[in-house]
Amino acid sequence: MKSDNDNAASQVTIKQLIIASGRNVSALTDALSLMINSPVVVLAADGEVVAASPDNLGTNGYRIIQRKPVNENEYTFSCVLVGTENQYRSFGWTITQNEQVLGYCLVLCDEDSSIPTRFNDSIEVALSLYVTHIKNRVSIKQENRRLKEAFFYDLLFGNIKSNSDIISMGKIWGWEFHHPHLVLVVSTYDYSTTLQNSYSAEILKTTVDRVLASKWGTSTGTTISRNMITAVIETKGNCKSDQKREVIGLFEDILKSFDENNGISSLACGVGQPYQEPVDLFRSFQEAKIALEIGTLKGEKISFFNEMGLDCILFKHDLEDLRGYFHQILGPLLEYEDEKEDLLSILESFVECGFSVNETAQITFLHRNTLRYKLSKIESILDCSLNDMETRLNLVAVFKIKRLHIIDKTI
Amino acid sequence: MNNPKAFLVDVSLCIGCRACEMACRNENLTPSHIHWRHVIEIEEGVFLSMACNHCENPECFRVCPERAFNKRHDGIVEINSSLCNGCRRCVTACPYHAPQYNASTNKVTRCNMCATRQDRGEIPACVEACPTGALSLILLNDSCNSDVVDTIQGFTDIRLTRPSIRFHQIKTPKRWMISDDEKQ
Repeated sequence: MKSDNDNAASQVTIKQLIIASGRNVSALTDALSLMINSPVVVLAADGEVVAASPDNLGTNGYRIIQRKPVNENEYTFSCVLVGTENQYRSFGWTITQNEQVLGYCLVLCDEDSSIPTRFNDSIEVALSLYVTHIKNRVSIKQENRRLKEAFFYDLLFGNIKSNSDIISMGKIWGWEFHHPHLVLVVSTYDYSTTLQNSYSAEILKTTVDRVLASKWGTSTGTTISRNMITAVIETKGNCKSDQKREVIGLFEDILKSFDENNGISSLACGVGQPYQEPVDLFRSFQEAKIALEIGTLKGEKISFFNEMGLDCILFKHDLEDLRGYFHQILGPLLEYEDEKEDLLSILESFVECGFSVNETAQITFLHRNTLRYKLSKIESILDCSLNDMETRLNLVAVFKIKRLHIIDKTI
Repeated sequence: MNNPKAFLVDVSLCIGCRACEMACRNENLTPSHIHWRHVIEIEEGVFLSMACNHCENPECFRVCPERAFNKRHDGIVEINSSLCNGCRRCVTACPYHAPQYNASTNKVTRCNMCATRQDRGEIPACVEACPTGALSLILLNDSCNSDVVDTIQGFTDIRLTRPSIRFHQIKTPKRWMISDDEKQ
């Protein structure tokens, strides 16, 4: 039984909590911390800090480990709270509404100490007050995300025709669109199917967001569409090679951070060209998707649109024309191939190795003299010299066609 | 998340009557030489009604120097004719030959999926006019029917543009129309 004095004290603290909650969630947490005389951290369900008292505990986020129920109550537990730098022994309560977990209220304490039972009523009230704050926070985040995605859609599909509109809207989320930006898209090799799983896509987006935030700060944004993650990033390098290095570094970081156990085995990235004016970013987006598509066909992990050149032209060209060209250049060899040795793949390797006999000999495991003999045989079949520039250009083009139109078995 | 709209075509049901073409022209009052929707015969007796596919990666959109195109949140790609300078880059870039150049106005026009009708809650004129039900409108994210496929034989390569069009798998007709000559 509680004494009258305890009841009176409890009423006073509950009143203080309600008044503090009326101000904001930080004030509520400060009041709770003051009441129980211990540091308090309130986390959202995803581990993000909602409020902390003292303030310096509010870092990027925490993970809850070694969770053990207390008094067989599933909503009260002891645990270890792991942050980026420190970890704390804690006593926690799950903040729930209609059995849906909204977050956690954690009191940092020593291993042996426990929260006196006289605070139970006050903590229960605090938990219900946190429900309101966390739900408000979630709805604000959802609304923010909805607005951000609508803005992204309009930006990436050229629906906003004025630079100043884009720049002023971008400032809402801290994006400086008066600097040149480019668009990159990240997806899986088989991007038409795998990322239909929205859970995998969300995880990938979170990974990309985290890497971008660590490298670029707030001046980047990502969005998720049906099958890919799109990021708009500010280009910092002065020349093309610097920009390329930057983007490759970024993608490598994404690959490193991405946990392959999340159901997606391999990622590919397409990069559009940088544009000074934000109204042109829709072009960069389309270019990035083309780069991804063609790069995926070529088996490349990262592809830059401004390096696509001939690939892009050949990919879009009429297939019948390409088929005719392919047979015109390699026809005699294909006919010969039906009966004899694999000269076509030797020629392909020779082209891939930049027409270097030494390199080709290494990758095909042939002796140089054997390779020379086979190449001269190819020359006689095709009735042309492999040293001729025109022939070399044709061979590069036809093998590009072969790779790009790999789905079409007839070529 | 947006749920774009797409045309769903059942080639097995299309009889090549061109009612969709006529309905499109009546609705949009296009000149006689402009065909926003056109019916092509992809093989003998197999017809395909084609218009702008409002692609996920529209090439017309990317190449336009005047930034005249935009894509609505429901996936409809629109062209602002007042911005068009008649350069025809979109005409050559589109693999489906959807943008149509009008020499008399020096502008390009194209199917807008009857956006104004759709805003009123009506279906596009071509879909409404199709007497066999070969043409219909679907929401892309909801098209998980196994009978619905991304492409069919005879249709242009979809890899680069990802058109918002889906097809019913081609079925062998249960009944054939036999002419008097064939009967004899």
